[in-house]
Amino acid sequence: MSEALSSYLLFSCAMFAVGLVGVLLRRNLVAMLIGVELMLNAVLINLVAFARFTDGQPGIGQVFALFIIGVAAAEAAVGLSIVLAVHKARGAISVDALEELKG
Amino acid sequence: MMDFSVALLYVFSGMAVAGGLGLVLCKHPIHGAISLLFSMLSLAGIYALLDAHLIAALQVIIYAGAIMILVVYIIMLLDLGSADAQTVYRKAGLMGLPLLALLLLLLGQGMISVAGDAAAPPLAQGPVVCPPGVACETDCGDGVDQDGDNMTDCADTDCAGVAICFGTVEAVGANLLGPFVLPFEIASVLLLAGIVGAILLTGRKPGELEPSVPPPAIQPGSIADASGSSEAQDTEGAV
Repeated sequence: MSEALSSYLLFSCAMFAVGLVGVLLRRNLVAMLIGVELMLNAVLINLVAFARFTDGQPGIGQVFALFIIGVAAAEAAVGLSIVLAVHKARGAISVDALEELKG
Repeated sequence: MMDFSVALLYVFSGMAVAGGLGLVLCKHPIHGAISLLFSMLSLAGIYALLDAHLIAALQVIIYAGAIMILVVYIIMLLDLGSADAQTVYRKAGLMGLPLLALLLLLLGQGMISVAGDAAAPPLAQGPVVCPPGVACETDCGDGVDQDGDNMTDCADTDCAGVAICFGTVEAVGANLLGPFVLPFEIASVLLLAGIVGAILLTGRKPGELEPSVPPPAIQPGSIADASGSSEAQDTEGAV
């Protein structure tokens, strides 16, 4: 396989899977947040790859990538402060400390 | 040349996926954070391979710089090193894995069938071809504003696909501050909401003062402030 669009797409698929496995399997809230960051990055690869490989409006995919980076920064700030608040309230940041809603 | 970039693509992809796996497998949170750092830097290399140089630089500055510093600060501040060495994984999450495998199978199959073996088209070198009857920036490297819209060379969105302009600050910024200026402003409001939300979530609440600090005199607006902050927290959850 050469440097084709599908190799970038498959790579982003793998990154998304790794991030999702991190979110599903880890108990640590910080690790789960990092997994979400990996999933956002996988989407970013797709956007940049499609911006490079298609020739309609070449700049627009990168603009969307910039928006994703901004949203990820806001998400990290708010998410980590939620982690901090959980640690202050429960003394732990494992998801086990937060299972009141469990059926 | 082409073979070298293909090799770089595989090296960067492998490093990025290995960093992600390190995040999943490492028990100590700081090891996970460092492997995420490797992953982010390799992704910056991949964006550079895709000629998106501005995105690559921002990936290093924002992800590998700002967000990673934030994560490492939180890990050190909360002293998470010995927190969950025994119970790292959730057994219940294992039930999601077959579903994940099925999802990935379908997604990968769909991506291959859509994209096929399309190679990267070479970026345009020559003059920009204008649509008939419309003036546009034809020469993107001469410092002259051909179509008279006060946007010269790469700063004109007509030039976004040309090799010397693709992925530069000028070309991306022309789109960002031109057709996408409203989402740009909304993103700045979102970042402001993130700042306010982070301060509200982690700051000291009224009535939660440290004992060593003498309680301040009650201001007339303090009750209104308290209700306002809980409202702001609710909207933050919606964002």
